[in-house]
Amino acid sequence: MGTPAGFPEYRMRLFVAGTERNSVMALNNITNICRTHLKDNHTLEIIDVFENHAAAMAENILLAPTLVIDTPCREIIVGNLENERQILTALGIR
Amino acid sequence: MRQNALTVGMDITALEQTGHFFVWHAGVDHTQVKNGEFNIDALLAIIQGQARQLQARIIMIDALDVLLRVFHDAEQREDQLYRLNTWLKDQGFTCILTTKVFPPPKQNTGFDIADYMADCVIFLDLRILNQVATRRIRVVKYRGSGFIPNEHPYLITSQGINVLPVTSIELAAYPPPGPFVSTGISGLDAALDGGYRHGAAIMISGDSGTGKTTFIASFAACCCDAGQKVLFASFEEASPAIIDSMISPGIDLQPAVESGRLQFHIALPEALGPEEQLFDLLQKIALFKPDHLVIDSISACRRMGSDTAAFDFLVRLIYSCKMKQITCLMTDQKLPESPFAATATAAISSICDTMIALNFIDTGDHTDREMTVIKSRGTHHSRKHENFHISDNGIVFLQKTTAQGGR
Repeated sequence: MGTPAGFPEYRMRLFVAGTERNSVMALNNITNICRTHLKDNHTLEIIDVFENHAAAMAENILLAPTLVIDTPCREIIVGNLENERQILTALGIR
Repeated sequence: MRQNALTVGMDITALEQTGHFFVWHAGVDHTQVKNGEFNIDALLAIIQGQARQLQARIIMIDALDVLLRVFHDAEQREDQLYRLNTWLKDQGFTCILTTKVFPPPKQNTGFDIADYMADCVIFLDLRILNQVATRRIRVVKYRGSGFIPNEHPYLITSQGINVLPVTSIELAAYPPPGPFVSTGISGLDAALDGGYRHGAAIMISGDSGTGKTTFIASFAACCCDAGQKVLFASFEEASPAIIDSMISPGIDLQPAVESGRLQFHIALPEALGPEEQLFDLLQKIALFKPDHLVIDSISACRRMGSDTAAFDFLVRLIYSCKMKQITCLMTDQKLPESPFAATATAAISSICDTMIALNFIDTGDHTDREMTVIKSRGTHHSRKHENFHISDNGIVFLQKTTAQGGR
């Protein structure tokens, strides 16, 4: 798959609740996936809902952690992201 | 929600404009995929952030059960409720939350814990009995409060929510009946030692056709003639039919209606539950401020749902009238097999100050009517069976009655 310069294929946002256990786990898990599978072809924005509640409100994010995949195909995944395979499927990698 | 609230007298938009109130639709996304553990922290963050902006101290969460449905097992739901409770306490918020009650068969839903955590639990219930729906409210617990644990009917009207606690009636508080007022029938005035007493509860019972409506119409016409106001509550007939039917026995209610001193309150017992019936009637009384209330007939009240419903309605109505010193003159349809009024409404006889029975008597070739005063508190009333007939000029007693006679 090609990588158009300056336009990453995978864009994601992760809503976390400060340093809560599941949020920390989710951040570790998605960071690993990015490093292993997405390389430079992605952006991952981390939003702490306690710092920026308006962002959570705007998208009706009631549960944390929540991963919002914006591209290539919109998908919302809640939980600590322990199942890597499911995320890769959602990203269209596997 | 804003539109719906308007119909019960609450203007949410106006509240929002004050800057002290904020409503948010926290819609649950059902397309989301689950991957490992999660919790309601994002919701708490949103509430915390908004509350800070608004400087709010009170949080209301409607239908928490809908959100918690995303957690599959009871244990997880319990965890979230604990999390919510701890967080609310830490933040110092007062929180009112609603949740559905899960009907039997009883299984662990995770919501039982809410009852233990909450400082105050209020149970709302809608019951349908004999086709009549009644809403009831009950305080299940309230830490540190001397609450009344009984069920109370409540209503949702265009003015909001109205709770009608029958237990809040203070018996000691109402005044004794006032001076005599003419019954509009000279023979009856004599038999009652002067008439009905102002602010008393009076029941006239009898078979169909014995003249119950004529008795109360005589009273209504007489009072209006004397410049007093009368509210005529009818559960059986429309006002034109009542006015028309009284022309034959020589009682003209039309001038009283035209002067504004006589008003009708027509209600079909089946149309509304007893609480709504009571609320409507009390509201009419509050607006019109009558001196006297006549009701035709209380036996119809059973059609509001049940004997208990009729009893509740009448007890609350009578006490309410006694508090306001409004005479309450009622008719009751007697059941054939019973000596006096024998409907469930007979149960209210103990709170009636005066009871009058009307009967047919068979003389061999025709029937006559007779009246007996069963009781009339605080008076030297007649104990005789008094014969009367319904003439073209109202009710006429045949013998000269004296209050002292035949006691």
